[in-house]
Amino acid sequence: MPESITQETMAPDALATHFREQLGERVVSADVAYDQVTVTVDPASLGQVALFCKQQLGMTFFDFLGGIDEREEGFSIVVRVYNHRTRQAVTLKAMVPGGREEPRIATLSDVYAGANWHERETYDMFGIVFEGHPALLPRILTVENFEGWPLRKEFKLASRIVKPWPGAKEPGGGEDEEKKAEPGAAPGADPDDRAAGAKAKAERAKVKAAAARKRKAEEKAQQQAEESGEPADTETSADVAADAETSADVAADAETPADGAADAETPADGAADAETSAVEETAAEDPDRASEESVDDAEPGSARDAAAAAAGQPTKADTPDPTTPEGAAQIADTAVAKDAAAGTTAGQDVATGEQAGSDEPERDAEAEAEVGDGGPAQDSGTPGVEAEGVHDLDDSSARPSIPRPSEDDLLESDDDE
Amino acid sequence: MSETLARPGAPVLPGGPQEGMLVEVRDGGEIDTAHMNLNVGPAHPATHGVLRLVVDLDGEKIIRAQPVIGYMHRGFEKLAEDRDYRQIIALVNRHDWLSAFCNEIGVAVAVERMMELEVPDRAQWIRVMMAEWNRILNHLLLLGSYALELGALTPMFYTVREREDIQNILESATGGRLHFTYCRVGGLKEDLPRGFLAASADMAVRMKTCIAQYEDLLLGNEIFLARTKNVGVLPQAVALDYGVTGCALHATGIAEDVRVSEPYCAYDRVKVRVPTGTNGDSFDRFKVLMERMKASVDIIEQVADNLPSGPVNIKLPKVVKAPEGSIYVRTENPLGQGGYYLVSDGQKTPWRMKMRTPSFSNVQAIPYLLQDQLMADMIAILGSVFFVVGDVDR
Repeated sequence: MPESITQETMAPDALATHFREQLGERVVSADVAYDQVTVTVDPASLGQVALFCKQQLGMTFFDFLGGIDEREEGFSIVVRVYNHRTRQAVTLKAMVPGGREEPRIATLSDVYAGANWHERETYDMFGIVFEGHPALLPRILTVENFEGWPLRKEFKLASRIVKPWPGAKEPGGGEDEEKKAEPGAAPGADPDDRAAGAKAKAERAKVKAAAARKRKAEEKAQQQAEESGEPADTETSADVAADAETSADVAADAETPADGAADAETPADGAADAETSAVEETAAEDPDRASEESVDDAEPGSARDAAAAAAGQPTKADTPDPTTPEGAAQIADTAVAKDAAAGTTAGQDVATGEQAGSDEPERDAEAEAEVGDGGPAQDSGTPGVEAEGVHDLDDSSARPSIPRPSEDDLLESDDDE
Repeated sequence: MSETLARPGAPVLPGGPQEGMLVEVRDGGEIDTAHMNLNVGPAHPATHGVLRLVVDLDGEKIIRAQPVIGYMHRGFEKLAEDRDYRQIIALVNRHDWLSAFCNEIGVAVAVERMMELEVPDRAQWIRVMMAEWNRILNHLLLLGSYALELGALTPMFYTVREREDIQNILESATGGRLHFTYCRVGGLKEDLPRGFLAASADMAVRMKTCIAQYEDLLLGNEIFLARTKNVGVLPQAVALDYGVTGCALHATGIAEDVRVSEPYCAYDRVKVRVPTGTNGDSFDRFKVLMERMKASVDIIEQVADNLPSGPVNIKLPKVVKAPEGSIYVRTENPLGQGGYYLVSDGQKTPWRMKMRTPSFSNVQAIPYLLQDQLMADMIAILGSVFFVVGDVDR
């Protein structure tokens, strides 16, 4: 053991000062937070500083090395080394030169043998090249032919590309999440944007709730149509039309009414027409029921509107929308999703076309509207737990048809309102 | 040294040079075999999961061994960036399935320190108790499987018997047998159920006799000693350089244990005995594992004697946001030192959560340990490093 090794334990502040005094310009800053010393060093002299820690301060224990995405500035690496005798540790931090394009920094594996795998991992996750490292390849954790750097912020979780967060609240903060991902825009930097985002979200939730209410009214109309002796296949097509309406609300991928029906795997052409007439007939036959409907917060004949909407929607399906299963399926054909599928199990959601509970969406849409308005999301427990039932709010078009609600269900939902 | 063909008609030895094979003959007449490249795994039973080893052999001697990892990489660090701090607790349960509770603590403590939350005393003590039971569970399995790998079938039956009983006790409190998810930011999921402490105390007493039983079974066994003593010696300096922790570090004589050097939860109020070895060989690592179980039983008894009453949880704000900054929290996991380097930008989700897992660093030292050892000792060395592949790959 060399004589020069510091044997006494220094307070974190004293240690930070010691670094500043001993290393001068090589230390950019030395901070103490939560009783932990973080020394930001000049990247060119990271190796020297590490050697100083090992030889002068006796920090022979190599703890870890990892990268951090520093937004537009590029990346930084953190190294923590520890002296088990004095129980002192320091976290060295260095910005990696080369920005986001070509991050390169000298290796520490010649100072600490343990840095070898940690640097390979950092290369694998961030694409930071460690000069002088014995072998960064093959990639240590991901597969050999993996493309992309998973822990960079522009690398999106594949499951998020094909499907939005299923819970009422996005843990990353909804729109903020996208902002966060762009290097250059510090998340939450602009409070106005965040407020606007929240507002937009509330609006969206309201629209969704309204659509759900509309659909409920349609279902009711259907029910009445059944009672008034309409042929059975007309009812099914009415279901489909209602379905198409909901999906139109989200992505408007129904080019024509016939297309919308075909999407939903029902052969009935002109479904919307049949459905509309059914509603009209019912309204004529049973004025009492029609007035009841208007009490129900949905305009009478809203089903007709819905059908018309489904028919008249402009074609927007050119660009695949990842939030709908159709869009996701299109994306799945591209190389991006294939990459993604290699890394995660995201593709499954698309493939299985997970179905939502038949009577769930109405209630959930309402709850979401409440959240958007600032109402109670959930009182306690783990966030996102209730997400199970909310799954695929927007996926109604993935279902062949909505199972016709029983009379009890309708009564129940009336009570809810 | 000259090259020649194996003599026709020479006796054919199994694994030796065959007729017509090119062999090198040293001047002394000793036959030098060709190097062989052997692939072990990734689904080898001795590798505790899907670790693959590419071994270069010279006869029976390992010239070079290279672990190939990543078969179980699930991207936990990336997943954590998309999750609320409270959800991460369920996530970190899973990478090291044998140390679920100890991993939970790390995340909870990190967020609590950043948010400056006062965690109730009772929760802190219960955390210690649960972590120690988790440690015993872990060590029981490793002890049994290590003996199994060395050809001793019986200890596994004994350890699994005790594991079942402990899991039943923990299940009564947490509802889980492997993934407990009992820790919460700010405390625990709920208080201990009635009868837990009595069952825990009974089990602690029983564990003492059980551990003595395991010792009788193994430590006096000549075959066991022959296969582990002076096999796979890890020097102190190398262990530190690679960041090896846990039993493997303690076996070298370094008593670095986070529970002592940087106590978290209520570890500052209990007496933690850190058993150490002297040689740093496989036997020492195993002995330390055994002794650590005894130490854990001691801690559990101390907690039972000192457990304060009161709440186990605090009321959290509806949105849990860690303030901007970074923190490193390390915990003594059963396999070694686990750590979380948490970088927050003030949002609900971490900006970056670097997981420092003990197995990753420990496995990195395996090439050093296997160098110049006999192939037959590979299993004895590999098993004694005590790692879980999920913890290596994350």
